[in-house]
Amino acid sequence: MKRALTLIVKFTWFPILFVSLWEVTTRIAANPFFPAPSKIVAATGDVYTKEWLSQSLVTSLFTLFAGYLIGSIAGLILGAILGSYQMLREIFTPITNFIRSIPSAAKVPVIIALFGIGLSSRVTTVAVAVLFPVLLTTLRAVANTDPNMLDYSKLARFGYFRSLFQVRIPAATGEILAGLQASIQIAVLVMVISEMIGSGKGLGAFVIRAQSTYMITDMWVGILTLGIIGLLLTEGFRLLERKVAPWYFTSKGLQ
Amino acid sequence: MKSDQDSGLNLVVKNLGVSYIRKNSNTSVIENLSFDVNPGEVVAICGLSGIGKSTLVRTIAGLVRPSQGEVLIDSQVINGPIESLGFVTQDYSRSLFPWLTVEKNIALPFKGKDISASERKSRVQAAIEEVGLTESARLFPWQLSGGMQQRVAIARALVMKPKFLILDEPFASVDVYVRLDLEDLVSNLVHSHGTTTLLVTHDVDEAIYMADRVLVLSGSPAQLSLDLSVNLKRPRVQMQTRSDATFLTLRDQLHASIRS
Repeated sequence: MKRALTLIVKFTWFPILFVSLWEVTTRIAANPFFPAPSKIVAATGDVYTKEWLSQSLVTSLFTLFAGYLIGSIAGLILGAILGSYQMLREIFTPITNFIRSIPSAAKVPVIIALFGIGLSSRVTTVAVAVLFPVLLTTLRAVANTDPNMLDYSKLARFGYFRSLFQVRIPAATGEILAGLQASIQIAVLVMVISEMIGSGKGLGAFVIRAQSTYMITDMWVGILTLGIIGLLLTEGFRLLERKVAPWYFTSKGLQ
Repeated sequence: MKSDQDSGLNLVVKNLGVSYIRKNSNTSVIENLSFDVNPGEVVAICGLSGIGKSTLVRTIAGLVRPSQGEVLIDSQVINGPIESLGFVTQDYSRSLFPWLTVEKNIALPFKGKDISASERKSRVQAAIEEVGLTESARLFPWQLSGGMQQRVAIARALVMKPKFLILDEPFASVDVYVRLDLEDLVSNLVHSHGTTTLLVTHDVDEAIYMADRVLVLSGSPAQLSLDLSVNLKRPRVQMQTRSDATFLTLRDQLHASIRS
């Protein structure tokens, strides 16, 4: 009982202090662009309507999940192929680096030209943004398998696929998971950008619209909702990766 | 498919040369090396660090391509690892797979081989028992001590019933008492199965204790400088054999040859 109490205090004292300071400073400053957190929370009831949930929240979450899933699966597959085939890697590395170097926001016009303004173009934008970091981390990890393990794979006379799936990919688990995790933030960021440009739908569009119509508290509701989504996804991923590769975390003594 | 009866394969190394390309220049590691190993014989290869012992056995295993000459095992020219070969390296911690349990690491060589599930299971079980890992079968390699991990690597090499076994500095990373235990364990296993064995070691005492013959590599590129028969009776017993007069004479001979 006492231990549980200590734990609660340990993890909550700073957030409580932070929110309190935020509340006090915003009340004193009384700046219309910085509403007090209590006002933002009170406004959620008005903002979170059924229509808003389906128009903004669900649209955004769909864009995020679909884009992330497509991008990361494509990145994993391409990364595994390029990582295990030196010749293909040499052919495709320059072009991959070039496309990767174009900022995601700058790719949006091209994607809109290809897919029009709408869901498919937003999903594509997220997918393309997620694809490259996942591809690169996977490629690098799969290409740099410990030579001892590769020797073993040759001694066991494993063919290409068996060596890829039994040795190279499992050996690359740690780096692949790190790449997938880093891509969550990228996906959220790019989702918001894609919604701010053009579409008129999703949380990004909602924030921009609220800002341009001086619905400042609504804007803050949108911003904080995005923060919560990002936080939940990152934490969810942390739990998931421990289910997928428990050996990785315990063998490295990671928390 | 050969009969299941234990019989080691013979090895012929003929005018072998191995070279590496480093910074556009050809560095020759081994040149014009020839020797034979008879079926069931245990041969140790000694020499200073970096002399080319590992390169030699990696070439024999088919992991490195020779630049001249050839390696024949059972009269077959080696172009890549063969199925009846077992290989144990010094870096057990990096060649065992941390995502698999001890049992699954040992069963790994069966992947893609035409062997029934029940046969696999009984052979994995037998290998685990042979190296004394019954208690640890369900654990992961990283939960075990260095000596135990090396037992896993030995079991993984033996589970395929190799007729030719290569041990590349197998006990170099374990402490001395574990080392003595493992030397006896491996000696007993290879003798009971009649496995032809090449043992790379920089430890002269270990070479004499385990082998029927000791080869010494020296020079750069490496060449055979000594081929010494070990006439010590078996079974050998650690402290007793090591204080035998013959043992001590062989030891002096080997030390002199390695340093020359």
